[in-house]
Amino acid sequence: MDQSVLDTIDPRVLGDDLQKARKRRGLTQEDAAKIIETARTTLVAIEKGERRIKPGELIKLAHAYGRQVSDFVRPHPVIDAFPRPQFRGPAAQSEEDAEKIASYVASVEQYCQDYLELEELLKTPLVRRYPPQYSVAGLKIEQAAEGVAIEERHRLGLGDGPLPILRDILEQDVGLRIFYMPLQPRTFSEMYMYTDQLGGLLVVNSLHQEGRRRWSIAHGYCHFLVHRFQSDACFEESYHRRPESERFAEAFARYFLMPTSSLAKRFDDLRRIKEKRTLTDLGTLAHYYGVSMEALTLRLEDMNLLPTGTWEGLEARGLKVGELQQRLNQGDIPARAQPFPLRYQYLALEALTRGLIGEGRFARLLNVDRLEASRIAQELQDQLGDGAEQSLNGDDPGRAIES
Amino acid sequence: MTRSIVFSRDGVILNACCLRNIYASGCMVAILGALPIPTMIARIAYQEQPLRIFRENKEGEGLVVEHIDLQPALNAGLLVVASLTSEAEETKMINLATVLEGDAEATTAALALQRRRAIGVDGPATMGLFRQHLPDVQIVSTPILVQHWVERSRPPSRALRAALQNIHQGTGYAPPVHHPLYPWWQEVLETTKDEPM
Repeated sequence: MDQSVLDTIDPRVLGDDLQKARKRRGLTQEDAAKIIETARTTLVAIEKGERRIKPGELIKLAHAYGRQVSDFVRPHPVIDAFPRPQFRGPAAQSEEDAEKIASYVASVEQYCQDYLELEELLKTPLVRRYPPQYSVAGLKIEQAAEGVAIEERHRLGLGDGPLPILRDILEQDVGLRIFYMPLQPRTFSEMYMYTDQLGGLLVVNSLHQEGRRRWSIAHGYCHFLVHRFQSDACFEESYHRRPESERFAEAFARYFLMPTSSLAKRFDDLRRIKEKRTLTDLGTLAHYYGVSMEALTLRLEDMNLLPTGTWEGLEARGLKVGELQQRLNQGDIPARAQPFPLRYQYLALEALTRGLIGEGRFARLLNVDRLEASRIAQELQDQLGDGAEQSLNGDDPGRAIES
Repeated sequence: MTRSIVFSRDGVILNACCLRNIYASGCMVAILGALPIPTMIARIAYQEQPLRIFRENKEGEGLVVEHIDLQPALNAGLLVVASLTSEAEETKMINLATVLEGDAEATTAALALQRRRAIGVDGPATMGLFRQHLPDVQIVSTPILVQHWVERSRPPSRALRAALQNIHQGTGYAPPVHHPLYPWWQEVLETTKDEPM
């Protein structure tokens, strides 16, 4: 019989990985011991690295933990523990919400481990173009937030116009890792975390409309710029009193997404054409800047371009934003709503086309089945264009990733 | 010009990609029935995640997603679902998991090695990994299995063409240009194109 890799692997590292996976799955040592039909003390010894695990035991545990055996036995980067996100929003989160958040963090940890592994496999570390942390202590919130927004737009060469796909800008030009995940409760908008190993990462609620998601991204980006090392989980309502850091992040999002100079000019253009602004104008402007009608209207109120209370009045009169948008026939705000960063997907595709991973692993990396993985691979290759396709697929463009 | 495959092993075990393609052909029972050796799949390859394909809907107006159903092949005794049954197989699977990076692939490979099976695989990357890490195992692919069926059973040319089209429609698969049977595959599609269905 072959020598088992389990005889050569460091049992403490393996035990530690197993323990983390068990906890992520929400299982007790007792539960895990039952799965491999052993005593709890044996399971404890395995997790401490004091007793080598048997092949059959590892296979059973890996499956029970929803993981691949290879996750435990192949060389892989070890992810630094994520800092626990600090809740922003409701004064007190329920225990159930806290558990959900912990499970989201665990999922992101797994995605980040895969991300790092792809970077190592392809020897392509993420390029970080991080500015130094902005210091805003002692400054007035609105002025400081606008200052940071203007400086960041300038640093990134964004001018003062609408931002196209904000997620791509921050992923590609800054080097953040941005994941879209369906977060519950729906008021949970975004989670920001930072570790030295991974840099800044954002998790945005994919259940929200793109306008709201862009706001969440800008909000999270502000945490990265100003409070880089403080993790943050943001809920959108039930504040007794919004903390200063939150008010700052909200102000930053306003200025970053709708710069004063550009918005004032656009609004002035409208004023010149028409005597009175209509809901259509607001809808068109909101779509232009990729924000919600509410965000746009409140911003115009702040700029004294609309009377204070305009939004409240519209709401009181039963404004149905969805219906209005349909009537305006504007289409969706341009977005890339896939769960994983575009770069992550490209790395996975490159690993596949270079034969470093198989089709099954490619599908698992994207958290989809083979049918969907095949469609995504084709879509990514189409985005890369003919030249890149040729280099990715060798002599058989369009066929190498099938099945 | 084609030549028949000689199976040098005691059976063939299908990886998930090959299983999907054979199923998508719509002729799974016939193709497996034509093989001179038994066919097997690893339980985990079938159960780990749902295996789906596209199939033209009954009205022939668009594609619907279909979950693969192995029951007809299982009932006919043409397919066996296998699991790891000994510590030697489990050890082999774990060792292979370090390089094949998937339990389904590692299990398929371990069973192939321990039980002297050829492996049916179509994904180019997975095929490359199998070839690299299992140099002594015979590797076959959907075109080879289909061609074997053609040689043994002589299906009508339109049925063969429909099978190849079903595979492409169902999973997106067609043999890569460097596949030895690529010319044959293309020829079937071309020469039967104008025949009435």
